[in-house]
Amino acid sequence: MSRYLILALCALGCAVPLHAQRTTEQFIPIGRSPGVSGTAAAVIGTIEAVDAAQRTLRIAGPQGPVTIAFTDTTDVWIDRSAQRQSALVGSPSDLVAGRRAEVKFVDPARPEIADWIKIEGS
Amino acid sequence: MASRFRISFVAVVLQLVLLAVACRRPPPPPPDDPISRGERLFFEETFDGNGRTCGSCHRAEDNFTLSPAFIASLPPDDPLFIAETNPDLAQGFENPRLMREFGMILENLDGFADLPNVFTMRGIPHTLAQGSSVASAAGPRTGWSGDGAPGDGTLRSFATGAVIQHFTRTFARVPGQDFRLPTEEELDDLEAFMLSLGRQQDLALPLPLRGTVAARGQQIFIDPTLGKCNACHSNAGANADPAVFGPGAGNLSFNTGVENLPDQPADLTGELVPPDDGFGVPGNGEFNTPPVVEAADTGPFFHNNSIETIEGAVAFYNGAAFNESPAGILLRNATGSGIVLDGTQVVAVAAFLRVINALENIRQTLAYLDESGTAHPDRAARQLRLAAEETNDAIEVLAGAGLHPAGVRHLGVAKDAIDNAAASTGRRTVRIDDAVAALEQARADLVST
Repeated sequence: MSRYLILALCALGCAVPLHAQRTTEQFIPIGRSPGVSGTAAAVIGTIEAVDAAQRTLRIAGPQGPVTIAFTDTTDVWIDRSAQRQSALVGSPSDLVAGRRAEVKFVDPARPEIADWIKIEGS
Repeated sequence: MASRFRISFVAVVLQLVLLAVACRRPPPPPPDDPISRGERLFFEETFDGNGRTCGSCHRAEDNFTLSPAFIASLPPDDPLFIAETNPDLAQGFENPRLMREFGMILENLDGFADLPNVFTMRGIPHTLAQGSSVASAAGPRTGWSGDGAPGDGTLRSFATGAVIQHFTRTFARVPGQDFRLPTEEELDDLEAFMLSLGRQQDLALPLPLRGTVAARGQQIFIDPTLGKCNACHSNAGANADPAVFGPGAGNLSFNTGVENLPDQPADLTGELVPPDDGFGVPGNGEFNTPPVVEAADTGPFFHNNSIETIEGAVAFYNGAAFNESPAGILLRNATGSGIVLDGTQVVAVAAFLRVINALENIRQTLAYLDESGTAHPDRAARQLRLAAEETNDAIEVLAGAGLHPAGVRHLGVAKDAIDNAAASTGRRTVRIDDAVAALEQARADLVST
């Protein structure tokens, strides 16, 4: 087949980097995301500060504090499993200092942008 | 004299009873390897949920999928039908009518915020040959739209999402209350088991097929100017042809226009069946390429079970839905034509798919028989039962299109021998040997060695 076809077909079927399913991720408690929690793909810790204007949060992880940006595509979920209640879809306004949270990075090699954030319910 | 006879008779009977008790071996402890543990988890573990297991939908007897015919054989209290028996799940968990009539399962891939209106209805994909079906250069593609697993998106993580979606006791979906999540070790074992199922490698086409029509179908399948099937289903598997898509492309997803088919069976019922937009939220219309070696006996076809027969599935690529789809348009622009097959050519390609499916059934049957020869009696009985099912699949797949009548006859002999072996342990080894011989004869009728 022609080179054009190779490139074009690849554009159709190859170019989009895959991501995991997010809808059931909502119901997975902090620290239990398979293949994510406890790896370089995520950090778990206490939120130290949130800058709504800059759209960043600083989280005290096991390796020290790390500042991570969140975007319009960052999912925020409220983990209420400890309260035996259903997880909720949240928003950046739910990111509050002092709360325990887990942040999955868009790119583990560049832990600067949050793919999703789970925050412990109050 | 009579009393002495009675005493002797009773003594003999007692001795026989004691001998039978002594000879009855207790079952050995279950094997403790990952695949065996994973198998037990797959078929027995409910994860403290609503009673379903992975095997509730992925039935070993039905090629690890679930067809409407098999669903019709299940008792009304089977956990598959939990939405019909559990008031907490009565609305928005499944659609019983679509499940029973078309084998469709409800998925909330676009979120759980509006259960009555936001969902997709999909067929149950089989879990065979996953070792060669999910990897791609862009990451693993699981499920119909390639985004089936939470966490890291791998096959290993898939079970976690499945438990949350399908095993919950209520719509609250609270871990530790409505279900428990699989542990890391359980995910390891489940993955090991799933990867052990079915083919462990792709075919190497072309095969030296002996059937005239199937051989022509194979030619059309491979021909990049005619069937063009091999481009996306390289070697009749789930991976893209590296000569077309580049080395290591692996499994890909495409928007082939299945959602645009008119008169989809589920739509004809009048039930609410929201459009399925495929990969992502919102979706991009793309769905994952499945392997086609396993196709002929795992219908209905496509993510929405919209086509029942393998001939219909092949003919789909002749129609407007495909040829006007993004994938179809690109193919047409790049090659000068869409896929245009006349009736006999559609049948030929379908015959090819039927024959390679039957060959896979034979291979799997031989594997089951091989294991049954050394397994504990309970395990052996199960493997013989599955061997019989596989052989029956091969018979139906071939006979359904009038293919290889001599091979079908040999398969019938094999099925009878397997049934006899399953019915009695007496002369079981001989009967299994007879079945193997018949299966080899059947295979020789389908393909030259």
